[in-house]
Amino acid sequence: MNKIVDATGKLCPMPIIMTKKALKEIEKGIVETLIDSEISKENLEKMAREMGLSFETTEENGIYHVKVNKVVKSQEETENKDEKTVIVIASDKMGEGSEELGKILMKGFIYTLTEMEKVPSTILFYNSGAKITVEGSESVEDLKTLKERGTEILTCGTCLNYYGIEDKLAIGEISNMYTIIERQTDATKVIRP
Amino acid sequence: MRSETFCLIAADSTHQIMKLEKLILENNIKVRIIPVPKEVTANCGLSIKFDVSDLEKIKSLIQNDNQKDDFDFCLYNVEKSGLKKQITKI
Repeated sequence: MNKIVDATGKLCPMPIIMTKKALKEIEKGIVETLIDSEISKENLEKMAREMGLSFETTEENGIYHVKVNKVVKSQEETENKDEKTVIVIASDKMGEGSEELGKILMKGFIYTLTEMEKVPSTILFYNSGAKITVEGSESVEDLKTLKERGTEILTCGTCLNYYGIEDKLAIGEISNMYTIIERQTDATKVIRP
Repeated sequence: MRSETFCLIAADSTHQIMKLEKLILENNIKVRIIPVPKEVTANCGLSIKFDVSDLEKIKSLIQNDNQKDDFDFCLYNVEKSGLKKQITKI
């Protein structure tokens, strides 16, 4: 069954709420949402990505048509979807001991994450870990790859500010203590390298 | 699917890899240290990843380095397609 949701003229988060409701109402099929704001379009695409649903966006006369495809998932897929692995990077070094080695290991850790079949749902960066998500960090490209595959990249804003690198963030979003705690309490697994 | 071809240097010791990385970077060639892929058998867990186009430059760098006798390494060519890797020794 397919549905059309007309959310033109509606302010965020209404288009998201309306689309979610429409998706809930159908067992499977396509929900096509019409919106006129780019931000709403991006948020809608983000929502689809987070729900693990495929989507297609087209634009016609300034109106975006976002088609979200709801598929019936096998039990295994549903289980995987509910699995939330959060990686906490609290330092730009991995382990204790040599600083030089610690930095190499951390870079290697992030690189190797990109080679894994399953990517984490979120990576949190704080304290000196915040230095990994800014311009000039060797890991930015790897983090871009992870983001493309659906990983949420969050860096502590207080930390960026403390190190004076707030304007240098090169990947992901700035986050605060509330989100840092929420992501960890909602996680099925927290990994701290 | 994301595909990539690159070269790797694997060595017997972590220190060798770190020393070699420094030498290459000093010569303005872009390289980075990554963990040795599982498909490669090597004692050391680190390797240097670089662009195929820099292979000859890096080879001659090592040849001309006066510490070259300290380096004991293997070169690999890696063809990556998605998560799959095809690794051959050079």
